[in-house]
Amino acid sequence: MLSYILRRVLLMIPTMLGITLVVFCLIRMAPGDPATVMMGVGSGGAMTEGGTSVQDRVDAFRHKHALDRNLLVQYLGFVGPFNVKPDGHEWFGGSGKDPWGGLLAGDLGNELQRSNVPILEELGRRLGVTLLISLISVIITYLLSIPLGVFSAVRQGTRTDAAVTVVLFLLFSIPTFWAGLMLILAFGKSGLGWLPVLGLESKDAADFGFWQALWDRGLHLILPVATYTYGSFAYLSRQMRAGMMDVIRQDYIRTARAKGLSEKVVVLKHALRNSLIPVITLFASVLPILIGGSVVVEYVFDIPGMGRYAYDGLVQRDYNIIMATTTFSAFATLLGILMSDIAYALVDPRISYD
Amino acid sequence: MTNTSPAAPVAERPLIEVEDLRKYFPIKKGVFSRHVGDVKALDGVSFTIQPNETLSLVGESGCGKTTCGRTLLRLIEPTGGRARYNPSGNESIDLGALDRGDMRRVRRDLQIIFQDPYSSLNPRMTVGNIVGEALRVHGVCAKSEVDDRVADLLERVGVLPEGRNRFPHEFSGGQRQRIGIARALALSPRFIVCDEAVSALDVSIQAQVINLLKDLQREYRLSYLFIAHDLSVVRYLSDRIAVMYLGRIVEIGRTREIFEHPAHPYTQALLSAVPHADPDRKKQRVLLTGDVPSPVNPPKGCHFAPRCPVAEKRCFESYPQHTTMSDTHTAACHLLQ
Repeated sequence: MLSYILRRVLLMIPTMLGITLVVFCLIRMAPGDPATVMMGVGSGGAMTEGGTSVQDRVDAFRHKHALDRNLLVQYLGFVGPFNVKPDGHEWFGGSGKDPWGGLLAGDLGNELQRSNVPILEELGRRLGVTLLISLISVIITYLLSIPLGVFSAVRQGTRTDAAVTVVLFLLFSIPTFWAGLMLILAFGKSGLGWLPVLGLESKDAADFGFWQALWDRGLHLILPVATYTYGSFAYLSRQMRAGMMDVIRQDYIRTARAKGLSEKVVVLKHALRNSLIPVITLFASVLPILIGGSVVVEYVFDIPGMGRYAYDGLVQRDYNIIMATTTFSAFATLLGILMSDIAYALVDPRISYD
Repeated sequence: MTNTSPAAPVAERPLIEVEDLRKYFPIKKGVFSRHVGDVKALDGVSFTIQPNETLSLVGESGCGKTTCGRTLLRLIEPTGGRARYNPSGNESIDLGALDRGDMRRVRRDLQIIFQDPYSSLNPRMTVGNIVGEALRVHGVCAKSEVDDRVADLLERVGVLPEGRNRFPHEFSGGQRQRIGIARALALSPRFIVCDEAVSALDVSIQAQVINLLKDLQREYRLSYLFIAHDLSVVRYLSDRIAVMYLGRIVEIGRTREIFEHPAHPYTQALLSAVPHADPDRKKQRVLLTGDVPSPVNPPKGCHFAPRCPVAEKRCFESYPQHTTMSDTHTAACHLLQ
């Protein structure tokens, strides 16, 4: 088992390289670059400003951030461990003041527009926000959907089951952005006025005591978490129901009944444990969302999380932000897959990786 | 003479009495699950089983044998009819009238061995837990003794007791079936339904398992309802045989009576299909044409009439009553009347 995990972890290295390379090439192929976005070139702005032409400033910006080097060198700059910018390693024509950089040196660079903000720090802040929302949401999702799935599988074919199915399909079909806006309309100032709809805390949160701040934070979280949860809840419940129905038909469930076990033991011990196996694989798809956040939810509710960060980076063509966020979610995806494979072996004695 | 007197003979009281047992599976169609008909899997089956006796249930696939075994044990709820279990001479339990809790307690005495040794054992439980779970739940023995008892049971069926810490997938088909038997035996039952218990095994293993079943019967005075389609196995194992066709018993009698004087044309056809080891033996096969009619809309008359080589006009008009051949042998055919 340990050698298997080690093998899988080692395999993640070329996979990560491949993913980052593809992302790297894709964003460079997109029209516009950080310099032109920043200076407003092409938007009809003034061509000269303060004596230097905009073109000069664009060139200077590109030179400073090594955007004028060829793509291979730039990619090397991202991966590291060499800094390929003008103050970087001598091998790449730099001054040698700051020879190391890039992913391997644990450096994701600074934001290009706010050049004094290290991305790693900003990422940490954003991750905290996103994790808070998504963890609550994932826990609620699993807590609700596993019992509901079991319930509707046991009641299979009854009216209750049919009603649950219809409601879940409705939920599943509602697009997130619409649901978010409707919730804002209903509970925000324009509707019932019960809940705050923007951000994570009130404007005067700095003056709050601990409990008041916690209460304030909780109120702010309700709508985003609800928007975040309903879709995956519907999906997971259906998965759970299907898995449960698969198991409940099995002969060993009949064996359990023939033993004279109570229905509770049959369903909760023999059936549920076996039907959790497919739900565990779904965790692989949950982890990246957990970390990557949801662009839509964070945008609609104006929450400074990971999803929002990735979106802003994309709009600004901030290559550093884009590379950092995609690398991060790619890593989370690979980790999620690995974890669910390990979990598989832990819950199903028939699976071994030796 | 009163029946309750302790001196009254009790041997003649059957252990299991099945009377007019029925199971219809509803067919539902459309969005609103309209009830459009029934699959009459079990359409009025009656028989009795004495203590220490083996009754075999034979017939083609889909004739309702398995449904019969499962309905009898209420693993499927019957649509109608009665199944009684008589634990002693003066105690009689109507299985259909028991609530869930009482039924669970009766299950200690009434067990089942399933056909498929691969899917009938929970893949996520160790063999020790599979066999021992019922002991713990029913409180048959002290918790500390469960392990010893499981080891004894496994040894009795010929599985190494060390196997109790392993999982079902680590065993071969024959071993898994033995584990299934050990599981059924765990509660010291009086009656076991063997639902095609050896059909999934290859021939050499079949023989071992059948002999095991016979030994266990002698040892524990078990009664079996042996559901099978292999007639040579049935002949070796059973005291009496019931032949089923499309949800009904068409002939029932002692093993010798059935094999030597089969009365019903269907039984005759079934027996003539058994291969013999002697190549010189003249074969007189009764070949049946056509398929088994659908149990959804069985023919009005004798269910077998459309395929029967000797059917007459009256066979298509009414279902025949059972005709008595001997005290123990009856068959449902118009031509015997």
